[in-house]
Amino acid sequence: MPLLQVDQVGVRFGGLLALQDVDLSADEGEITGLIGPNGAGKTTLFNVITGLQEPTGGHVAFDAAELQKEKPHERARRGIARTFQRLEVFGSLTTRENIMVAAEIRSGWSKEKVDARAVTDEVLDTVGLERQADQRVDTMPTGLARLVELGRALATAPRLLLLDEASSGLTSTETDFMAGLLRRLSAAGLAVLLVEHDIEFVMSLCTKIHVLDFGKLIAVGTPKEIQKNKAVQAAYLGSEGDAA
Amino acid sequence: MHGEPDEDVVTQFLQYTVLGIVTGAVYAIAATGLVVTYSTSGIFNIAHGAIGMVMAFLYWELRINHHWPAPIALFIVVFVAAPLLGAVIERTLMRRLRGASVAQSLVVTVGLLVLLLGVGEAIWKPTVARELAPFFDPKKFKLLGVFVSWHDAITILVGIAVAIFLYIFLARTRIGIAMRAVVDDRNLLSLNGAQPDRVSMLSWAIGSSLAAIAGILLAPKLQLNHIVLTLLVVNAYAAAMVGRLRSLPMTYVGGLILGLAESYYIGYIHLTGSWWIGLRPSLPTIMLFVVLLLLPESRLRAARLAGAVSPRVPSRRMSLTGAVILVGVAAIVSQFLGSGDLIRVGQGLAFALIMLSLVPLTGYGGQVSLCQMTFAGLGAFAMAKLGVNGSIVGLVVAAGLAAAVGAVIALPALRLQGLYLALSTMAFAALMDYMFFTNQHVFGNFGTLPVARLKFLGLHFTGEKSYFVLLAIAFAGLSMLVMWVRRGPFGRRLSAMRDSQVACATIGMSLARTKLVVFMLSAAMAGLAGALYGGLKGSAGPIDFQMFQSLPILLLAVLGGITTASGALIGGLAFAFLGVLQAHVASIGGLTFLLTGLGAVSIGRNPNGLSFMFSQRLRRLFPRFSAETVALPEPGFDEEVERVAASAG
Ligand SMILES: Nc1ncnc2c1ncn2[C@@H]1O[C@H](COP(=O)(O)OP(=O)(O)OP(=O)(O)O)[C@@H](O)[C@H]1O
Ligand SMILES: [Mg+2]
Repeated sequence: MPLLQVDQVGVRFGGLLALQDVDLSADEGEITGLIGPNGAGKTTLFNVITGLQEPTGGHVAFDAAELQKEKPHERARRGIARTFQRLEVFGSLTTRENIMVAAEIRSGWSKEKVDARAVTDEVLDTVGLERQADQRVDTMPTGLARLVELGRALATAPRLLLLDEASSGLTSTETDFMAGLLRRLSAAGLAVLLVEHDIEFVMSLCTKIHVLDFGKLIAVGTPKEIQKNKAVQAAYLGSEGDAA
Repeated sequence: MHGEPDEDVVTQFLQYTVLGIVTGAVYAIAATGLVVTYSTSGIFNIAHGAIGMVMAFLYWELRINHHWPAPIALFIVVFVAAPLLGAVIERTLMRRLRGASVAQSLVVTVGLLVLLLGVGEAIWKPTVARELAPFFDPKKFKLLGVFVSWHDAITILVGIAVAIFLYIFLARTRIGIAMRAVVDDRNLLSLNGAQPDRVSMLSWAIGSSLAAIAGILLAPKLQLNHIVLTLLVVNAYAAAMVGRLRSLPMTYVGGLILGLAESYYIGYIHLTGSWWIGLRPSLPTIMLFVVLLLLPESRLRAARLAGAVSPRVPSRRMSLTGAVILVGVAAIVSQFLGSGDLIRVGQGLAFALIMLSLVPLTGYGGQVSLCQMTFAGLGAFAMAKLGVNGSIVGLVVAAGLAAAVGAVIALPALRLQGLYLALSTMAFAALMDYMFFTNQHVFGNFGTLPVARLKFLGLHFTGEKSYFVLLAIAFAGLSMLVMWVRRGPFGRRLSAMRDSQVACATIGMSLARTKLVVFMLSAAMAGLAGALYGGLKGSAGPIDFQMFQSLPILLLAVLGGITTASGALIGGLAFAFLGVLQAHVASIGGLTFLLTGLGAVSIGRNPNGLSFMFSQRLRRLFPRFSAETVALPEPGFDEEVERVAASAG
């Protein structure tokens, strides 16, 4: 059974069906992709998985446990971490503090002993932000702030990492660094679910890709299969600019 | 007398029902006004009752003072003055609040409340008794064996007319439909091509008219009184909460429930004993808490706040230096001040202490409390009862009692957004005014209880000078505590919570717990401050800790700079100074309210306040220190994105 199992999830905003009967799964040690044109419902699906958006139907299971009743912070404690498309950093704190908060919260509830300082140093090293450790995050460019969010997510010691537009706003060096980092993390056993507009980035990283269009899942498969898929090509033709 | 007791019972019941419907109709009218503005502009108008108050007084001015015919006076007030005021408020104040945090908009609307109260008291002196007679008084007619006064009949008809008007307006007119789209989902408004500015301005104009109608209908039944009418907002939001601040039909239901509950309570429940006297005016608060408990948990929204820069936390050494300087200055100053001035400046220090309790809560955590004065009152009460002879036990109990009560009142609102916590605190403060502070068992039959000054470790702080220094020590010590908290794990959590609640939840933080802890900390500090304040005055009485005192406390703390201890100090001294000024310029009633309100609505959006502005000035003069603060402009969201994008590219 996959670590994350999304089953027939639907979300309705007034008259708009943002998601319809969506199935999706993500496995440990793999990078799974989730792509689709603007407004396809990718972020909404992330919100459903993390408990920020109540679905109108369907189920989300994590590690074989049904999540329906759980609050966002309870889901986080199960091991689901995420980043945000529109950054949600703690702007008035430094990079180090952003990461440390997450580690401290974990040490507050976890039965394991967590040395928040050690975790913070380790994560700073992992995401390569040692030089910016004491800089306030609201003074940092988007690319670095995305790394701060990633670091904060990692400090919760997640088993599943949801990345919403991980590479947007990153320079090409930063993008390469991010790709390498994600490979290492998944090799260490983390399940990664990646929402991306940069198709090349997704194709090179993912073992399996889901494609959403207008709230519906229109294809699932390996990067090769997705590239050949007619429905996917049709969906992307209308929004060429975004796929670039 | 002639038998037929059943019919009497029925008639009586009908009589109370009619009266309940009448009051309910007024609450419903007021509450729909709140809902209309809140759902279209996203700003909860705490000043709603104050607008009704000013308009009721204006009506009195035209109708009674200038003998205008009622229809003309009504037309001018309800259809000209009120909508104009609403539109002006929207245009000048509320529009600037787009994208602001709940705390920022609360500060501005509380500022507006206080400003309107100040204006009302300045124009119509509270010392003069005014009366507004019911319409067509004393005409009444009999319906189903029940007497109905014309005023009551008119009230019910107006209630129905307002409902019909809103129904037709929202369902049939283009701009009304646009407004309803916003009522359903604010984000969709601009997508639908409607003009948010016009919709928002119109909603404030309508809301303001509804407040005016409610004020004019209610004033003859209650009292043409500034405070009473301003407090109408509490009843209104209790009713609006039944409709979850969104649904107009349910808001009407809420208004009716509240009106009927009050009426039946008056008719059938005759609890004697001083503790029950305040129960009737407290019914809205009680209903509010019940409804809050029943509300489903609110969804977290990824709300982007227009960035507010918080000053850097001073290092341990800096805060210690500041503390030592403050105590030193206080010790020197105490030698030169006369005893009257010692008390006046001492009051400033005591207010500063109460304001300091808002620094962790509002400044760091982004939550707003409108009842800090109530906690201070609880503290003073505890000190009076248990701190006999200045025992330190009184001080400890003061903090503990306030924290415990704080936990109880915060609990129902914790699962909800910050707005609900603020509203609960205001309702709670009103309840305490009615049920606790005015109770004869609390401050005694003479209205005040003596409060002793602290004695401990063999030190007696009983003289004016030593007590003054004690207040400075307390402020310095608690400031250091607050800054120590800020530098530690809990402080990081608070800042994180203020910056992004969504992100906090997704890294496993229980927001409710964090809010609870900081609220209790803040209440405890206010309780302690209240105990010391009581000691300074030597007594505590029912009017020292009223809800309306808590509002300038919040506003001046914000004006001083709610993120720093120095801001609280500036705010506290300013409050004391305004009190002195008021005593000198007695001809202008409500001067304190006027000035704080004016200040709050003009710079209330900047949470860093004066102390930050001063330190910026200083740093410009002494650039050597400029590394201490990250000085940023205050960007709106779009600018922020651009700035970030630009630096990324
Ligand atoms: N809170 C909301 N209320 C109403 N509609 C919403 C809300 N959130 C999202 N939507 C709508 O739901 C649809 C899906 O949005 P979502 O943000 O999930 O898309 P996305 O795939 O992440 O798009 P993008 O690539 O632009 O990030 C969009 O049409 C959006 O306008
Ligand atoms: Mg998205």
